[in-house]
Amino acid sequence: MQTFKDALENALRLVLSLDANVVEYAQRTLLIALVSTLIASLIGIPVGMFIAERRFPGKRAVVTLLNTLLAVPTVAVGLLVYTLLSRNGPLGSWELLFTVPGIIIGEVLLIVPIVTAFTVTAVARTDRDVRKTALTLGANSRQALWIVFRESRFGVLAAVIAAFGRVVSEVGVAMIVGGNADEFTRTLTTATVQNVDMGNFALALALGLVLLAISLSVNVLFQYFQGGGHQ
Amino acid sequence: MTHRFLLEGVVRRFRQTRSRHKIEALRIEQFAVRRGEILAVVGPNGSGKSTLLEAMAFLARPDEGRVLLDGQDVWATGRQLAARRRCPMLLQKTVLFGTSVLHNVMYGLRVRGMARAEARRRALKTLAIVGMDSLAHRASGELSGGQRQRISLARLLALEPETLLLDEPTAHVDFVNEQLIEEAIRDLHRRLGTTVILASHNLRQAKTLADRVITLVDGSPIPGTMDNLFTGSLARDGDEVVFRDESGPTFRFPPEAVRSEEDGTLPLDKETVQIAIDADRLLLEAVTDQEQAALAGTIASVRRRGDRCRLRIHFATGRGLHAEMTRADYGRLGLNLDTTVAVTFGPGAVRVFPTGG
Repeated sequence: MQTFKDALENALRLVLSLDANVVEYAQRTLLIALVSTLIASLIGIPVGMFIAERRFPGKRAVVTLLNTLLAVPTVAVGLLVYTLLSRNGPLGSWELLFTVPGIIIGEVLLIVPIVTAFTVTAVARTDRDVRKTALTLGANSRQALWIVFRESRFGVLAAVIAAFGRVVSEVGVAMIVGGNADEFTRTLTTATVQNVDMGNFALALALGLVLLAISLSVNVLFQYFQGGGHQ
Repeated sequence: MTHRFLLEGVVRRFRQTRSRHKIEALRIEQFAVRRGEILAVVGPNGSGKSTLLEAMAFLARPDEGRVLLDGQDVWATGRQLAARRRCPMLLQKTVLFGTSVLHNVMYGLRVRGMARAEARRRALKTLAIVGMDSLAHRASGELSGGQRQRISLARLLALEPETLLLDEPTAHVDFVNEQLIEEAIRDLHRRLGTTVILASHNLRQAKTLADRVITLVDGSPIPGTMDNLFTGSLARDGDEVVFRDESGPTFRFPPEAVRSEEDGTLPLDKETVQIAIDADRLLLEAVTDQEQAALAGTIASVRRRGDRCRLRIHFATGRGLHAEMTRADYGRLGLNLDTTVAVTFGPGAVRVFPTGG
């Protein structure tokens, strides 16, 4: 108990004194999360809107596949990307293994299904008659699609926030693709794992506290936007 | 050219849920709407009223046939967007966008490319006409059902359309809002000569608002209104015409009460016919004993709207009829809830339509 109390005190001291390691890992984690969420949103939102709004053969199978991909273990994605980016892999010439861009590629693959599936749900939940109403008022297809997007914006934003939260908290892709190289690819989660292994509980706990703070903020935002911005 | 709309051979089919089978929701040989008229379309649930209006709003291409707007085959010429902009429609389900009332009313103007300031001015003017300018800056989510319906209508009125399609414009609103909406429609028609096509369950509304009323039965239009629809077979018994409902009462009509909508002759040889008994042409008389009358039932409900009364008469067989009369007549005849009444049929009260079978 005393050990935990000491570790917690030391952890708080590290966080409040803006320890260089904690700040570096947090900055890298946020950079990876922001860039990968941005890229995944640019792919997932239009694809999600297309799936929700259009009828096409196999639509149900696509939605089932997306929902299945939501539960894919992060280590599985990490392993896949590792295979692709390793020296002998098909993308080995890009030399992205154990780099931040490599981690971002893995995170994008991990969260595109999240953004897409949640966008499909949000847009489908938006009243189908919104589109029809816009058309009856003289909107063209593009204008009608835009109003559907506007009406489902809180749900879509919730999808983006959920994806961001997933990147911040995952460890499999960052560890396998990034290699946890200090000063290069170490993130909050991989650093936490490493410091626990090394018995450095104070730093591990400090990193955990920062992760917890980020996760809490993300969850508060998620709840807010899922409630249509009213809660 | 006096026709605003001309529908020729229009057929619309829908796929049933979880089935490859398609059902026919609309079949119209030929149907015209004159420019500047108010036309009411009435009919039971599922008779195709909304499908007809959506075909005229160019929301969906018919499976067969042509929809001509001012003589132009819209789908053939690919001018659906222009046609939709000329024929805005109020959907049965009220949907306001999640912005302010003002922005909702401005929407149709903005998508047509009107400048923001001009659209705002026109929207405020329209809101003032419908008496809702005080709500202009309220969020649409804060409005009551009646207010939402009136804003939906204002959104269309702001467009000053040459044609207006209204699907159940007063469904789910109280009597006061109903009157206000009807007045707004009349005002638009008076000011701009707008052609109005109105689908309604409300027969009083159809009769008082429209220049012409048609009824849809199984997706096909029939002139006039119908309140009491029955499917069964017709036979002659002496002087009387006997109708046997497939699942309920047998009616005996005097010959002068029955008219055929096909070619004047009664389809006695058909296995299935549809009859419509006009609620306005039922003759009621309070009786103390059901045995005194050939057809008698009890008044199960009374709905009063304005100076009219709409009664539901229940028969011992379980089926019933709707009857309509003025409140003055209702009082004069000494009618009340649970009163036993003898029912007879006035001249032309029963219209007969052969069905497909």
